[in-house]
Amino acid sequence: MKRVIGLALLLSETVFAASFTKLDRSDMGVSYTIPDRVQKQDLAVIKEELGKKRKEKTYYQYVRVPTVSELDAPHPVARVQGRMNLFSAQAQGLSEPIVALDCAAVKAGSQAAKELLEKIDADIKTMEELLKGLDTAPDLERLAHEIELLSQSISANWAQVNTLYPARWSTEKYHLVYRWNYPFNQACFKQNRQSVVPSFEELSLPGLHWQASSGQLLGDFLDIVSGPSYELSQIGFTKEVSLASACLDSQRVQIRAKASSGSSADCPSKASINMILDAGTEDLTAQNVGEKRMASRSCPAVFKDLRDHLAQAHAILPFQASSLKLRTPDANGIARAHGGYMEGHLQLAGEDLFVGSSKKLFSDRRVAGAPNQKFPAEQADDVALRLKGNGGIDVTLLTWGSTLVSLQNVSCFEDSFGSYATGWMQEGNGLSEWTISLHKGMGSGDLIKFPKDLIDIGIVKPIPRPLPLLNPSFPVRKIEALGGLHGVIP
Amino acid sequence: MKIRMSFFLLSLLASQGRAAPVVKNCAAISTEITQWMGQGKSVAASFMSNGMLTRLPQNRLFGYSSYFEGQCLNQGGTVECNGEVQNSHAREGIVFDSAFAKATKLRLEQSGRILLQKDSSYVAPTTQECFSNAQGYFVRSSYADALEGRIVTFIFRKNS
Repeated sequence: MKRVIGLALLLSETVFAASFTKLDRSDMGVSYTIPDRVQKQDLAVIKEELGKKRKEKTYYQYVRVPTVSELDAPHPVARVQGRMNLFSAQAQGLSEPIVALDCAAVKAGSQAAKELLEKIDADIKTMEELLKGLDTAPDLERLAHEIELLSQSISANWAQVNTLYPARWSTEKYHLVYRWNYPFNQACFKQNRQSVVPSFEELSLPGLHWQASSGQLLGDFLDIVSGPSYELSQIGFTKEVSLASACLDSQRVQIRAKASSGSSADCPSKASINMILDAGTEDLTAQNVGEKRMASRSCPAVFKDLRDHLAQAHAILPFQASSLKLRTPDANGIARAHGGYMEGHLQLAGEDLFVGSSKKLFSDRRVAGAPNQKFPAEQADDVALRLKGNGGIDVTLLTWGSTLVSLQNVSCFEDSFGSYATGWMQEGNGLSEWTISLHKGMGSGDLIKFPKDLIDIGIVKPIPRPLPLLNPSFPVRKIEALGGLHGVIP
Repeated sequence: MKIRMSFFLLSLLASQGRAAPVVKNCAAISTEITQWMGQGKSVAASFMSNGMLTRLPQNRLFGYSSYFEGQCLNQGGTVECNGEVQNSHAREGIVFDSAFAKATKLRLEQSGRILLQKDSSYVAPTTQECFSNAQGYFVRSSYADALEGRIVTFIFRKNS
């Protein structure tokens, strides 16, 4: 509470002081002025002070920002779902921890605060009604007492508001980072390995609409901290938000982006792609929960889960298995290291997951005429792999007399992308760490195809849009509280 | 085939009774590697990465691996290793095409945390386990962001 008003009133020959307290939460758009201590001599001053304020009903209401409008886009386009995550405003990079949002608490606090503010509104209205009858009141002592009780009730409810919905939820700033993988880059990944970076053409999020063609920079908008950025094989931008806004407002964004590739030997089709980058169609809590960090899980449970997946029609189970070996020292006393790699699709084999033969490549092998080419396919070994129902992993070295080696200390992990199994292979000439990544798939596997929506550059046309807002982002709203000062929600 | 079989079987027999890798404090690994370097020994690093990410079309999961070899230097207490990384799927039809290898760095901090260079910045692991044997050190780390998850196994070894 902050004492802001002190008024002195000269009545007859006695000086009476009436003081007021301003209750201000501009983040919620409310501001009230209430008397501190009410004596019958103060009533006229109180009536005058509260009477200065507008009488229209202005209950606290959390006015949601508008939802994002659909962008016009030419056909065909690719739709790409990205992610948004909340970081500390001091975070130095995307590797910093994501802020764990408890939106349930924010939403509950917001609702409780809203109900309390409505009670305060009602108390102030009652206070004003009582003061209207001041001139004809038979008992000024009693009237003063009733006004004081109302003021005390308001103070108590206000304290609750500050506890249940602390101002820091609105005032502390965080960075909401939106990211998408380079879609075009990935579409071309196997085909032509070009890194074709998409560029932002148009962006729409609640209260903000921007077009590159306007000449205005996206960063000119106050809420946009940085971007668009084109790093980490990702396209993205960062917006400043409060916890309250992150949980209570729509943060959905739509971006129209375009990527174009030039012709090359590997990618003969000169083409471009128009895409809509969507993020935030679900609420932010779900987005954060969706990003599951690597966690340990029992191998039998993981393998059973994968077997259950494979039991479905059209299900496939692609895997990559890599090994990294540290060899015992050679004749010169040097312990060398090398990597191995194999990939394929696992099949159901009773309680096991099995691949009968896969080509394993090695980084330390070479073929004549290509001394710098590691992992030559011509020098591959044939290897069979079995992930057993009991959680063990057997590797059969087909090229080496079908020798069976069981991995030791097998551990399994999961993250939001798939499952991993790790283990150690001990051999006479060294020790290898094996990691097998397993991901559930459907249909035709992981064959990478150009998306059908690739179109020739000449077909892409500019999209007419109205001029963007000159000034930032969220519209300014005024909410006036009964008997109080004006409040503003940014 | 016969030569390979004989060599392998001999090797496998020789492995009987060999001690498994020992779990090691990651910070201690950093300290010991720095000490090696202080003795004038060079240190080499390798890693093998298994990653998964979503990709077009239809946000399918896609898996790939990367292989790194590099040499390390002590940069004020942080071990920095410069080398080349190559991707298993840099090009259609050729797994680990060396023509598309590119320079990259990793940093082993004094804390034992290994940062991986990704474009112009570094990414930190979300989990990390460290092991040692007589020849060097193994570190198994996981990295994840909203769009990609991976396990990376590192080896640090004395060159001489």
